[in-house]
Amino acid sequence: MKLVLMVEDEYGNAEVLQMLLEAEGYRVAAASNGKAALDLLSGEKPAAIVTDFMMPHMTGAELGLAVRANPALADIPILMMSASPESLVKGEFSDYDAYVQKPFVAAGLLRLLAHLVENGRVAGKRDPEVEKSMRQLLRGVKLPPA
Amino acid sequence: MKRRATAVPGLDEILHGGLFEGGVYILEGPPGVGKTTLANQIAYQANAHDGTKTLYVTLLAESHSRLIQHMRDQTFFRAEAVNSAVVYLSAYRELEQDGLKAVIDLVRGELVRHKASLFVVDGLVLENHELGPDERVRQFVHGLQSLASAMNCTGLLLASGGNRSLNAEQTMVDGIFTFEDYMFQWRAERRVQIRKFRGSAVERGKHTFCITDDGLRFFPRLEGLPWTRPEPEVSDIGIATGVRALDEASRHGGFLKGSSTLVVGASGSGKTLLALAFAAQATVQHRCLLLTSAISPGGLARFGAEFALPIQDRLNSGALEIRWESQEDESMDEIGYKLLRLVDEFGSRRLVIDGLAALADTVAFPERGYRFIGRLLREFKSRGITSVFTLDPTILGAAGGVSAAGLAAWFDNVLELSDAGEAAGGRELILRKMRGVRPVRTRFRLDLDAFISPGA
Repeated sequence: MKLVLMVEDEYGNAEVLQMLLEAEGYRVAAASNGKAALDLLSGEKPAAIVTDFMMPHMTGAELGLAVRANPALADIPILMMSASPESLVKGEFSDYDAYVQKPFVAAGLLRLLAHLVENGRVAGKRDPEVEKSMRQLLRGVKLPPA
Repeated sequence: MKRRATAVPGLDEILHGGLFEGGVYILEGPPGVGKTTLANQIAYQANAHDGTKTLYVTLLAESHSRLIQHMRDQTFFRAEAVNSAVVYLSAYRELEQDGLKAVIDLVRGELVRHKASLFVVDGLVLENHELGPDERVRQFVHGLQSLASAMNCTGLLLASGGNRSLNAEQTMVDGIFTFEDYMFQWRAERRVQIRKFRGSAVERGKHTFCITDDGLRFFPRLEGLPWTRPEPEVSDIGIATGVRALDEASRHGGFLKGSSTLVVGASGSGKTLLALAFAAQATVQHRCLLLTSAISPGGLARFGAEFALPIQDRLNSGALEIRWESQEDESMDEIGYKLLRLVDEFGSRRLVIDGLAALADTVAFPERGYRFIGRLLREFKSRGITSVFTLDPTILGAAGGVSAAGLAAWFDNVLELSDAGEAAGGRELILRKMRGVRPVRTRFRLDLDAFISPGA
């Protein structure tokens, strides 16, 4: 079972997200902020990181910068989630692989994550398949089951 | 101490200028009463006004994305400000793992990190056993208060807890705002009371508020507000009433300018007709605003035409404006402020309120109605507005539980309409009171010839 690092400060969101990921067959390492997530990254390397943007102590953007700066971790796909406009997130960190606007539809997020875990990240440019799914999510298109 | 105006309509008037920098204020009340909307409204408006950044920390509250989603229809909300000007964070993990002290530590660290000068802690549940007894809550509040003072920030603490509220005397906090959703038979009225406010006087007692797409709007009790307008001048200028005999009887050619007149009568006695006669005397220079809750503007124009009153012409020329106000669940103060806003916007010199009982059909009228009407009339008088109110005493008794006689004391002039019977010539107008002049006659027959029909 693939390991996913989930980083989310809101209790309810974190509980539900962990439940959804586990139901999809992932093992989940959970952290409530970027700093706690970095501590967990010293252990087993996850197949992907699903992280909130705005969190106490260390934001998802700061976590992303730290991950990309570490050669041992730099190739981990990052799925960023936020209630903020994507332009704000991009202003602080743009090298994520997928972006999901909160509140999200579980099927869309899980489909994006499955794609990232399966294909890994394409450094330097975003995967066209991911772009397509993100655009569909932003338009509120109901995605077929993955 | 420097004030921080909230820019929330009515709230700064209640607080005599706003919150204080370095202060912590508790907003307590049941879920759904508007605390979260108010805190967000203050945060977004403060940013729009002077670039203030807000740290919005939730404990066990609605998720941030849902909270923001619910805020999207509010006019103060700006999506681009989310997490840039208003930073949403959850402190539930800290609360769960290390208690309230860890929450204070998180707030301190994040205030510095985001350079915020306003913070909100949302989701303190007073009955939450995890928080322990009152002593723990008081320590938490005291910690936040010390933090706000040391960092020159302003803090809002949103707390709910059923019927339980904080002890104002024992809580080291700069202000306690208690919100309630007061049920009145089938209706509900939102109210706020400033139970504690350090550093300045406030408008004491309870005030109503409503939640609109623009956020919260507060209505300080009208009669409690300090009087800031110039005192109304005593005038001896007559304002034509539209009733020939009445103008002749008053010696000044009508009602005195700025006076208020109550027209009392049962349904069908001719109150609306008399009000229309007064309204028909309006000119483009001396405009009239007529408010009705019973008859449409078109209906009133047709009714006036039956008595040769050029209501439609007055409407066409802009001398007259008729507002058909539906009977909504507005508080008495909300109606009062709306009236004042309307007369100011329209620049009225004449005002007709056809159906005063609609104002009496509010929760607060039986307790405060007399004083409220007194203040409202003083407001009109200070604006030089000559006003006419019609009143059916039966409806007043049913709606407000008060008597017309008590209400009449506030008016300068009181006219009574009654059915004198066909033998006596139909309707009769009795002049009960006319302030400032002794009328030469006090009884008039009211028929088609009684009304002055000004040229269109």
